[in-house]
Amino acid sequence: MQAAAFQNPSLIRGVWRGRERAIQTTEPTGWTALNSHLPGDGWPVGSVTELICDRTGIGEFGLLMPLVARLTNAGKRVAFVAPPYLPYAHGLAGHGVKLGRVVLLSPESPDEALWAAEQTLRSSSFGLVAVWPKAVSDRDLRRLQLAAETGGAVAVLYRPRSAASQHSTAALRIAVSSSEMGLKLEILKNRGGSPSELSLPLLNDSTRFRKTGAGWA
Amino acid sequence: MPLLWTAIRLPCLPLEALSPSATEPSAAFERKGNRRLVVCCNKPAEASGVVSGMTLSAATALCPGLREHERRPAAERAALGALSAAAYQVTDQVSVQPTAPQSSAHTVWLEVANSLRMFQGLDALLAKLNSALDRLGYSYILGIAPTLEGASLLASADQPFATDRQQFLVAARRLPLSLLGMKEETTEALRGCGMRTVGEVLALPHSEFAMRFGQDATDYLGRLIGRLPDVRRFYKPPDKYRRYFEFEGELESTGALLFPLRRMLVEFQEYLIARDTGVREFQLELEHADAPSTTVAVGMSAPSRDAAHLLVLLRERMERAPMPGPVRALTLAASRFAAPRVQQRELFVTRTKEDEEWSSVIDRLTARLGAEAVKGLGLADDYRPEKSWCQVPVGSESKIVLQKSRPLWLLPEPRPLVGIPRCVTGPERMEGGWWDGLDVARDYYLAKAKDGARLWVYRDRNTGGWFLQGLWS
Repeated sequence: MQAAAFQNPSLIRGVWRGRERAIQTTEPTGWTALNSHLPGDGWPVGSVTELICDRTGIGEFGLLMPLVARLTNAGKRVAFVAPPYLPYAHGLAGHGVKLGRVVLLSPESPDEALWAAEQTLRSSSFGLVAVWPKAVSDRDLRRLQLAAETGGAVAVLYRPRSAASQHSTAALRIAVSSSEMGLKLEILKNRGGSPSELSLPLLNDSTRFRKTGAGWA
Repeated sequence: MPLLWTAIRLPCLPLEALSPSATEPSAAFERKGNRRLVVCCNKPAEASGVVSGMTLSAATALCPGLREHERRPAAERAALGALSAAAYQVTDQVSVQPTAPQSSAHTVWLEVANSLRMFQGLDALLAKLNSALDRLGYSYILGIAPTLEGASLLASADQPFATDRQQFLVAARRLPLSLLGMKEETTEALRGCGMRTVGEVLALPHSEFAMRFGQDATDYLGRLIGRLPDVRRFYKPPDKYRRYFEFEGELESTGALLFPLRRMLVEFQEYLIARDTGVREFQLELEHADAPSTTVAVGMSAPSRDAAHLLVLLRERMERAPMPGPVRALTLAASRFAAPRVQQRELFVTRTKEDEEWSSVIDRLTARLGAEAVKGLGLADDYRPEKSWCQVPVGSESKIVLQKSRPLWLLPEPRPLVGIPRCVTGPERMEGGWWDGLDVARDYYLAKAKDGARLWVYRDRNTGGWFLQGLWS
């Protein structure tokens, strides 16, 4: 038996073989270029994704819009926890988001924000929970990860650049910055895949804006 | 149709209504003149030899650590109300009107003949009744007989059920006559005649018995064997719920409140099941010894009647509002009810389960964060950005026509900009608001910040000043 096991390690239970990818359930991101970089071709379901960026308004929120639109139109719920500004209803609706399926949570303190994130992640009522926490400790991260596993939602944490060096249990970590092309994505950690870099074209609501002239459009 | 009565005998209600310790020996007592007499006691006290009817001093001599509770009729009435609600779940003919004046034990009666068909038999009916009673946690003994007094008699003897008259008479005949609900002097007189059992009393000629022992005792026997009808006032669940619970001491911590709260909420749940409804909003008032009372209000996204869920919400609220002092009494009150969606359970199992999960998480969030922190987004029919959206209750869908291309982030208020932004596209002119005095005359642009952020800015055409109102993202 032992000899056989040497020949064929797959006979030994619990041996981890790197090439085998864990079967990861995903939700397509809506960005073909991004999907192709991710194992399972999408945002991991039931584990934490960190979007690391220092600036609000460069496209970091728009990155999620194809997913938000698809989920809400499929009758699933989406929660935004402690966002830095008001998610603008007309802007969301312009991306095709069904507003009746969006829940906005604005807790007063950072602690309550983490609590609310954990509750929503754990509940299985949401398809996506996006959180803008103030500060996240390793312990908080583990708790959120556990909650995401329980509830089975896409869990997105927006974190500052300074957090990039912090050890993280997240399955996916992407640094988001703006470039001439539009949006630059550096995939720092990619469980089941490999780190890489890519650019997405400008997520342009603004192209719908007229370029010249004045007065009513 | 022959009647079938169920008697729920509650031998320990005077003590249990006061929510005593389960582990410490405890007894309820009442005052008779100068004497304090034990009415009932719990199992640990019983084990030390305490029995009802003995003086309290005798009881404490037998059982030194005995906790004494003076019986409180108001608490007993309230407990009977809760028990009636539990019984009401199987029949609408529930009565708590006392019959025998000398009996210290309480009884709730229910006539169940009409409900047997609905439950397809007595077993299912009793199973439902038992589970409702068990949730409330009072000790009880059931008796079943074709008459109300008969059911009481069998319950007080802890006798098997008798579903017809013949069975009942067979069972009753053997019982000692002291169990009959007659005045003590009547019982004594019967004993004096050499009688020992119920059967011997029932064998006496009817007219002579009346002459010798009086009308009350005769009527009682008539009701017992079904010769006389039993006219009862039936319980009806009140339209508004209000339950007051007074502690014997004062409770210092939220933790200590948990036990009585759980019990109150279970009672509330049974009331809601009895009415076949759910609650949308309820209040808990905490009475303090030396501070004005605190009121904790809990609202729900969907009506509920699940005691565990209500307790979770209540705890979240109570943790947010610290108590100003020890608590002396609690009042649970509710007046807004709506049927929960449980009737669909068999048909759409998954749907309802999802709904339950959803309202449970929304309620928990609202309870802890406050209603203003848990919102949905709506569109408003106004072109001015700051007025063109609104916070709506979670789950509401807007029917307003969508405005064209708008950013994803909106600042709570436009922020004045220093200098002229680098505009990329625009302008889009916006004018209006003369109708409510918040006139705007603005030209909107998309501008680009040095760090790549795309800004939604406008120039106020009246003042010429530049403002940041949102961020494209």
